[in-house]
Formats: sequence, structure tokens, C-alpha cells
Amino acid sequence: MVTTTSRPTQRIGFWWNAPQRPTFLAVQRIAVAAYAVVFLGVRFGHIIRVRDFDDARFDPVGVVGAVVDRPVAGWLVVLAPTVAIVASLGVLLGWRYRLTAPLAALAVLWSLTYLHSWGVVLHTDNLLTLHLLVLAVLPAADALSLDVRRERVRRPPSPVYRWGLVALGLVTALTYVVAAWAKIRNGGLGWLDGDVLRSHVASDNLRKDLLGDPTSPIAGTLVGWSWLWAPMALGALVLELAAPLAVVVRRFALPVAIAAWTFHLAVLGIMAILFPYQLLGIALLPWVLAAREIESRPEDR
Amino acid sequence: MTEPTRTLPARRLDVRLAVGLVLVAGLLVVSPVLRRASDSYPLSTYPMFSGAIDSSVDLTLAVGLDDEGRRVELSPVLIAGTDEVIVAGGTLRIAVREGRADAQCTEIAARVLEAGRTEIVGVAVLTDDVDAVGWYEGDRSRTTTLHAECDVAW
Repeated sequence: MVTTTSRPTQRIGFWWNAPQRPTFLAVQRIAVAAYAVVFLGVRFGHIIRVRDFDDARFDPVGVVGAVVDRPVAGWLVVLAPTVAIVASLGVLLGWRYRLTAPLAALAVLWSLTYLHSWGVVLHTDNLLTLHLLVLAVLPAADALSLDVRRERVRRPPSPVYRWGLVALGLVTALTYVVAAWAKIRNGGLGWLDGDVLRSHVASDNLRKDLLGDPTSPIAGTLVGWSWLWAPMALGALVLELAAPLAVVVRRFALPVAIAAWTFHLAVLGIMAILFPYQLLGIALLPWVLAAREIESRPEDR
Repeated sequence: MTEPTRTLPARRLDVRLAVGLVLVAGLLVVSPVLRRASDSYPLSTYPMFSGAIDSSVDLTLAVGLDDEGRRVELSPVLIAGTDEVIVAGGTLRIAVREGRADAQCTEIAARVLEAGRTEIVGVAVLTDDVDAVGWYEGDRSRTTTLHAECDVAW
């Protein structure tokens, strides 16, 4: 049952303590793991192609940089994403979750960090890795899992599941805040006048055009409309800074999720940059799921 | 006969653990900003499209050359062995910056040869200085700096 109250404590985060069935966190687990299996499967050839790169291009970042200072053997480059796919399948099915979830998280962390360790760090799959790492320490296989089926057990509602979704949702929200901070720090308030955003869009599309990559079919026209870019820059910055509201204020969860999804759709349309994890809604789902199934308590009536 | 489903006790919430998890997860995401770190993975500063640029842009490219010296477009796979255009562009920029433009040119020429692109007789690594906004408004002028040029060994 979902009820609404006017109590400020319900609106600004106290609802995090309300019990929730394990199904909601399990749905998030299934969505993230299914995406991981498909994403790694589709990108497998791309991920292992770095075996053929010149060693001079190796520029390790993150955990890879902490472990090695030169490229690893080719068979290891193949093994890591293979393990990641198999373990992610285990996470998807909720099979031996205590083993498969950390294994999937670490294998994905290694595989994708290694992929980004060749001079250019991309930003379209960070949230997948971060969400898998957080899921690895959550009881996300307490429902809709082979573990539950095998053990023939049922778990009653608990605030633990909602807190897990809050953690996942906060990770999503804060990535937007960090992106906004980068714009303020690197671009200053000048970023808001629209010219900077227009130049970025024009440059990015032109680079793709000259390097033989698909470009936005509408960017050329939109770049000519100078009045468009200041409101777009302001809208993007406000949305990124406001993202944490989706976690803190329950009734903002769905509207902010819809706004963020629309933002990524605009990025795809104007810049031909695909954020599949966001556009499929998986990155934004914790906001919506965490806000579900709040039951009113006697003290709130 | 199958064993009946047991209902276990509800998972007890240790608020300190829950708050700790949320704080750690949140702090990790913002830690690159707090540490003023450079971009990394998966903890990123998300610097893409944040710089205060104007519409004048230096585009480092690799192009094929036909037998009349005209430019022929090369795919990211031919340029850098990747299907990511951003990676291909970044690879070229780094090669030029580190003085490896000649080696990169030779590597691309080898891939062109392997791909059987017989219309391409040479490869050039260059930087085009372009007004990106003006480009879309019809101004296709550019200033080109050549970094390396090499033949395809047909």
C-alpha cells in the first residue's frame, strides 16, 4: 500500500527506514546483471581487441594502474570479461549470489578499467561498474533468485532493501553532481551562456564527421540556432545539480528520473552519444524503486 | 513431497551499517572532486564537454591519400584498431603530443594494406584548425598542420 503524508520527515529522507519487500532490490539486481551480460557479450570483441594495441599506448588507470605498469598477457585480457559474463549470469539468476556477485563486480571492474587504460577514458559505463560493486555487498538475492528457490525460504519486508536501493540511487545521483561540478570548475559561469555548449556540440559532431563516425542528423541545424543553447546549458546544469532530490525527496523520484532520461535522449539526438545504461532506465531505476511501498505508520497518521 | 517454504526472520537493519554503506558509496563517487584527482575509472571527474572552449577547434586526424593526393576518410578501426571514434581521436592526439606521429602513421598504413583499400596510396596524420560552428554555417575553411606522412606498401 502506498500512502502519502505531509510529515516533513516522510518527505526528506526518513522514509528510507520504512520496510520494503526484497523484490524491489531483486528487480534492480536482475536489471543490472542482465545489462552486464548483454553489454559484455556485445562488446566482448572490442574489449579483447586491446591485446593487439601497441604497448606504447598503455596508460593504466584506476585499479589496473594500482596492480600493473605494463600490459598483461593476452589470455588474461580474454579471461577477465569471460569470468565477468559468467558471474554476471549467476547474479542475474541469483545463483550462489555471495560468490557470483563479488566475482562479477571485480571482473567487470578489471575488464572495463583495462579497456579504458589505453589513453582515453570513456564515461558511458561507469555506473554499471559502480552499481555492481554496491550490489555485491547487498542482500539482493533474497527474492526472485535460484538461491531462494533452492533453500525454500522467504524473507519478510525490511528497511535493509530500501537502504540498498538508496545507496545505488545516490551513486547515480552523485555522478550527475560531479559532472555539473566539472562544468562549473572547468567552464566557469561562462558555461551557462550557451556558446560553450554550442561549441562542444559542433566540435564533437565535426570530429565524428571527419573521423568517419555517425553524427547527429539535427546538430547542424541546431548549431545555427544561437538562442537555443543558453536555456539548454542552464537546463542541463540544473538537472545535474538537482539529481540528489530523486533520492532525498520521495515524490521527486519519478519526475527527476523522467527528466534525466529525457536529458540522455537529447544527448543522443544532438551529439550521437549513447548512454545505454541510462537510456534503458537501469541507472535511474533505484530512484523509482526506493520510493515504492511506503506504508504509513501509526505515528504518521 | 516437496519441502514447504520457510519464512525467515526479517533482515535486521543495522542503521550504522546502512548509513555507512550509503556514505561510503557517496563519498567514493565524489572523491575525485574532493581529491582534485585526474580522470580515472570508474571513479571519474566527468570532464567531458566541461571546458570553456570557443568554436575554434584543433582536430587531429588521420586521412588516407589517393594517387592524386586527395583525402580519403579512414574509419576508427583503421586509425587505431578500435570502433570508438573518441579513442581513435585520442590515440592520434597522444601520438602527436608524444612525438610518435610517424610510428602511428606507419601503423595505420599497415592496417590499410591489410584491409585491401587499394585506392589509398598514402596516409597523413595532421591537425585541422577549424571553426566548428562556422563549419555548420557553411564556412569550410581550415588551416592544416602536417605531422607525418607515409606510403602504403602496395
